[in-house]
Amino acid sequence: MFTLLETVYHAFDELAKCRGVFKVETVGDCYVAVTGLPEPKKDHAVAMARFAQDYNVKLMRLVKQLEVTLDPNTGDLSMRFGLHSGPVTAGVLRGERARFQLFGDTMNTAARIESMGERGKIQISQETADLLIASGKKNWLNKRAEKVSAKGEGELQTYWLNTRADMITTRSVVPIGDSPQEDGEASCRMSCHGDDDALRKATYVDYPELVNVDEKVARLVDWNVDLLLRSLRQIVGRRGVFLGGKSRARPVSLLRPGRPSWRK
Amino acid sequence: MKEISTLPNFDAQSAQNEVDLDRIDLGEDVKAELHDYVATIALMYRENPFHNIEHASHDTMSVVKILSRIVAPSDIQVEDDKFASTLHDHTYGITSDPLAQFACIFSALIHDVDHVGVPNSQLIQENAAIAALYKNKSVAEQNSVDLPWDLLMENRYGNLRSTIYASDDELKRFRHLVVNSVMATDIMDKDLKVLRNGRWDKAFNEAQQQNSLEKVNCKATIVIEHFLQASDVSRTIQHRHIYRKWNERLFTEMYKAYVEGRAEVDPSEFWYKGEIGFFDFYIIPLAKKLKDWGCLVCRVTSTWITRNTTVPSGHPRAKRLWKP
Repeated sequence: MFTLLETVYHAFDELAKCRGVFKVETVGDCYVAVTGLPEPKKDHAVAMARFAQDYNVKLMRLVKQLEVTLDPNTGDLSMRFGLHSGPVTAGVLRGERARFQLFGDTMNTAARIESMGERGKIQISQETADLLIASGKKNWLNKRAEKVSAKGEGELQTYWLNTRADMITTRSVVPIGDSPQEDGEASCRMSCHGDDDALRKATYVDYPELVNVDEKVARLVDWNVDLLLRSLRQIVGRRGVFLGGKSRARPVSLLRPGRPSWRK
Repeated sequence: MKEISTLPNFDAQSAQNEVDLDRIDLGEDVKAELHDYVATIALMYRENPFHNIEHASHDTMSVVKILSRIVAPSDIQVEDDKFASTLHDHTYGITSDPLAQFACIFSALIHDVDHVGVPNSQLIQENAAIAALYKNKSVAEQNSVDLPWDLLMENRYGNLRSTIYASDDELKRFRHLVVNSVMATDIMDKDLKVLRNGRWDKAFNEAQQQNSLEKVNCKATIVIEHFLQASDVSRTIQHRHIYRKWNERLFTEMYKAYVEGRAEVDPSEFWYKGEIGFFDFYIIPLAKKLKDWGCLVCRVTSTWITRNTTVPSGHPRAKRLWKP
């Protein structure tokens, strides 16, 4: 269990660093992260939604890898995700083991949203869903059929965020625009959760391919990449020449003559 | 925005030692990062009838075309070995600065990211959060610079970034060029327009031109901005079929906005008058500037402009309203 959590949390920390997501704490098997803090972020809800999707895929891949060295049932582990947005109070309470913490109703609601979720799924509160819809991400969401009753919150309407795997299989075009929102904070809470039935789809999908684009957009992407690559080669070519005369500070790798060059 | 971006001086040795581009391998990491980046940018475009990823791709194509067709004036005879140097001088360093060219293509790709399908004036009127954020100035354009730039600065694009620029100076130059280029696509802002025209006049029309370095860089910067403008409206300086296709999409987008209550006037009421005015007061002067300056593409396409202005075209609904 220790190795499992250590590996999973480490991977999440790396991903969080990469994506500008702020890790707040871990409580047992629960990982708490926030966007829009400590630096305000215009598209905090979208960033967190994307991050949760990536986490989900990452976890599925990790548990498959860990299955080899840990328990054979490790591969069946999955997580619940809960996302909520709203104002929080943040700070360091002076005293023993002082650390940066978040307080407020938003945090409680996030915890409820997480605990009322289902394994392998990302549950989103109405507030976060509103922010996503305002950013043109309506088709990332599926309304949860039944309302959930949360302790101290009454009945809540929540949404499921499409996982990356859903997006690939439905192959719908997702209009994405990260329009800035008023400053606020999105908080995300996830907790490890193990059950019997396996959640295997999307495990073998490679990360760079996970971006959902339809065929025409994919062609346009390839085409633009090609143009930019050619231009980049010119930059590198010119820089190589410049450096050739002075120093070889930045090596420019040239293919060996005779080897076919990369071309679409 | 910065008024002048500095482009590197002509380097005779580098011009001679041009490397065979096909032999340069950027490495799989850079390619993967670039692909991931462009794919994400594509997703950041909304599904508008006009301002979508296809429009951006059309723009990158046009910029690449324009860059490839920059020519020295035919009346200047130069020996072959001086050609590169003459072209460098004539184009104020643009032809021999790959970073500037990359910045142009990059800017074209990102210039309408997250465009919501209504003009800035409407965003301001609706008191959109984004309008307040950018203080009601070139709202969509600033947003279209910030989002892709923030994305590029994410950790996962480290290899890509170090390929684009290798020093702080290059980073600054790249940033200036991108900001200036994308902001240049805001053609409705009167202040920016006056400033830009003033800079063009200052760079090209003023008597007693000094050929100082600053002057050259000033010209280069303003010319690059005009490339982006021309690419943004490249539909109007291309074949009539292309013009009609994009013109219809633009109409559809504006009509959709009107139906949704996000525009005050039905575009079919002013479409043809508006288009003709657009040609008279924007396209033709712009094409003239670039033609006089020496961009071959504009010489060729000025014929298309003439043809595009002679016959009405556009949306079927508008067609019914057209009274010759």
